[in-house]
Amino acid sequence: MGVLTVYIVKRVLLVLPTLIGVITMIFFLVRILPGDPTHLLAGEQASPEIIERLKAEFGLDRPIYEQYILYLKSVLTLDFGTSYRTYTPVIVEIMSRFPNTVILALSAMLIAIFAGIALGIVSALRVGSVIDRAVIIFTSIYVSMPVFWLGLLLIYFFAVQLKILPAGGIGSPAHVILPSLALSHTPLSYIARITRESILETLSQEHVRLAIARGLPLRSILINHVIRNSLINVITVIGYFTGVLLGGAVVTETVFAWPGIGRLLIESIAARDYIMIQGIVIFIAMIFIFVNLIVDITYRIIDPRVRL
Amino acid sequence: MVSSRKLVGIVIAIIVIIGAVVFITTYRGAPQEVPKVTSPTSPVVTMTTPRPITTPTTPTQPITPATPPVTTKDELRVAIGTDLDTLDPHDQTTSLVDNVIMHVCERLFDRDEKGNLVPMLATKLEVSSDGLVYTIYLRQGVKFHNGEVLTADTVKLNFDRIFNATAKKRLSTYLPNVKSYRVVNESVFEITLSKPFSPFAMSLSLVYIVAKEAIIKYGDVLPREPKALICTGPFRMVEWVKGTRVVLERFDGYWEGIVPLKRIVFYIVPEEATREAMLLAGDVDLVFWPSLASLQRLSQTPGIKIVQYPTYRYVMLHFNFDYPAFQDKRVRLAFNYALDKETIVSKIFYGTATIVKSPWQIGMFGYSDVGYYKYDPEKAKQLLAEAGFKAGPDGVLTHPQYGKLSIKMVHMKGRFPGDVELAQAVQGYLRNIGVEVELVTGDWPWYINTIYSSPADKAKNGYWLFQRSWGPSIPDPYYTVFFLYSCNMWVGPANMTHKGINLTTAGRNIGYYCNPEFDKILDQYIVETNEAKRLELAAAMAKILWDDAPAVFLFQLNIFVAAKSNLEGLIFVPGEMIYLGKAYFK
Repeated sequence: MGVLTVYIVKRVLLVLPTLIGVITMIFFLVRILPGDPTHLLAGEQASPEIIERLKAEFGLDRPIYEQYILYLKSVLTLDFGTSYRTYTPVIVEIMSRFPNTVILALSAMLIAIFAGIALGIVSALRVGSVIDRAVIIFTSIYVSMPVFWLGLLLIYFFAVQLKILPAGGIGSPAHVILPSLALSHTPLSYIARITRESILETLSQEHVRLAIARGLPLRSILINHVIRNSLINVITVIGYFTGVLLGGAVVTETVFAWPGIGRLLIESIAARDYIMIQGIVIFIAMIFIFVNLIVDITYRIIDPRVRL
Repeated sequence: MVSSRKLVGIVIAIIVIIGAVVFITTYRGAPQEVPKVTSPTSPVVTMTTPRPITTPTTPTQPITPATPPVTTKDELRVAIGTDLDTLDPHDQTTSLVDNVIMHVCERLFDRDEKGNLVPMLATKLEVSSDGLVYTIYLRQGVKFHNGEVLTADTVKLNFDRIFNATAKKRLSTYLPNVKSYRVVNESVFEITLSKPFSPFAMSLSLVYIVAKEAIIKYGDVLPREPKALICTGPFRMVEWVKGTRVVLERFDGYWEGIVPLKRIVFYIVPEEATREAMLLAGDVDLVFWPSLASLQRLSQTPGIKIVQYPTYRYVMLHFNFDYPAFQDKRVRLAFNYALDKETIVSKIFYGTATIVKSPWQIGMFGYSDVGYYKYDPEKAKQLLAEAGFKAGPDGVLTHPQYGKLSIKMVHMKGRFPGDVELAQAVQGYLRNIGVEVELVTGDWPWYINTIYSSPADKAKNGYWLFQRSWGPSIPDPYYTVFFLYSCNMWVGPANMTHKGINLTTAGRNIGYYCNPEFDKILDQYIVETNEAKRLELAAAMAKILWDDAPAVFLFQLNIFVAAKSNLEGLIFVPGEMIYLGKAYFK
């Protein structure tokens, strides 16, 4: 356990330089983007005074290095600033959207994990059969579908034709179903394929063949030897996709009018709301760092041979 | 082994628990949908004078109840594409936001479809003969949502806020030359200008009045707190869930009488296909901007109708006069003749645009048809030949002095439906007369940055033609022609000159057109207060610009909505807005 604790402390300490790197990169990247927030937010017929007022309000009238140092300082005191566009603190904006992103990401991941692992196991245990081929074909097609198109198909079928689910928006658990189905398509396909491959690989290993030779019950072999040993690859994929989905799903959120963090980011980019873009990107980076940490620790727990 | 297995279990359990907690807390207010009331006891609604009010109503005049429509359903659900950015009525950025705010807050004056000023919170406007003093007579007996009564003091407090020295509001842009203002008595307010500015009267149709309490108690949170939005409108805002919905509820003390609908919910649905699907699925009753391509299909769907109305948004192409060939008027005219506007409107815009025959928009003060550059490619070719252009070996025209007629056109993507297709059509039509056009595309922020860049940057990149969409908030031609064509509005970095003319960051003349004769008449127009003379001057300006063709004049976009066919009483307010205060379900 000592090794694990040291490892966690080390990893947490490493977060700080990573974050400063992210802040620096995003700070300068948004400013390279063509477009000036003051002109966009002042309106077409703005007077020079209004443009000046906005510049001063956003602090864009200062030299860029000064802006950078000020921003770095405020972020380190956990002050992410106030949105240019909505005059609301960035952190409040993010926190009003993030729960929606979490709900969508977790429901999509639950679908993906259960359906993906189940399909993977069935497919691996009946390798070469019709079911196996069907799973391979299904996952190949499913993963290749653009989520935009898949989303609209789901809306037209379930909302417009059958009228059993709402087309978009939030407000009830029923609203979660279609967007999470659409969003789960990529992780589901990956998880199914990885599970299948891992199980097949584990099945061919000596200890499994030995267990079969010893006449142990198949159920116990599968659970204790095969699935457990195959999980490590699957967890990597689950961890990766959880991170990706928690960072917001722009297309799904747009198609289903789901007010998550991905849509907030896109809206902020369209208005060149620098302070908001920076806040969201830093937030997403923190999620990734955190999820990666969890995944690494989980590896270690599942397979103590893994060196951290 | 056992302990590690437990740990995995714990991690999964934690994730599930967090998910469940978030889920429950977020959805705690679950049933958001209000049951659709169709009971026969629905309130009988008193309709008052229909909007727009074209004759001024004196405060003492009793409100005459017309035949009251009985609405079969008192909740209207609307899908709009963009969320509000700020609620602040004095600091609005787009007309899209106005579409929601206008139901909660009201302005001093309204305007009709011909661009005339009509009463709203004020009933009468008097302008002194020297054009300097504007006296505003307020409607009496108007109550705010909090019970406050509208007085001239309230109006003064609003002006104080708009002109706050440390934080001037965006609205101040439209109220130039204000020297002072004062309360004359409880219902009369007076504004004095430093020099005459005749479009000023029309600017008063943008001045929203909020309650004293909203300014004194909630001034700082007005941009973001619905409770701070205390106004006089027929609805009050009860909820704004960012990125999701805005909920309005009827204000029973509305001065014009109670309105038919009890509740309006605006859902924020960014994707047009989803908005349509929601209408088809019955989740909403009214959809702003469905996709152009599905207009025909939707209009043929039983139970759904399409309604459209012209906006002030003018679409055109601006010439960059730094390109030598564009200084030859024959070349500019040739471009005007080269585009088949009728086909573009019907094939690309599915009839949702109106061809404009004047340098400013239909519905603006002083609009009249000045002329029409009807599609005539032969005439275009002839004009170019007269200007000295000859076809080169590759079919592209060349000129002994100007060289090859090969230009780049800057255009935007995603600003209005059909913007990219329009640019491609322009490219095709111009190729037909021997002009080679390379399209340079970007999103709105890039586009704005590019067209507002310095003359040197534009020249360096070879940006000689610009697709443009211009939608002023005020129906006075000043807000189109001064910004787009005046020598005083050349855009560029401050403290720089170009060809001896000062550049300004607030400039909107992106092609550096300058015609002193036009500017002279515009200067007279701005200070003239006599309406007949203003019309004369407007006609003179229109003629000069039309004949000089500093742009390829195209068309005006319509706002279009898809609605349930039993939804009646939609009132289009010029300037991309729809008033729902009179809406009801048949």
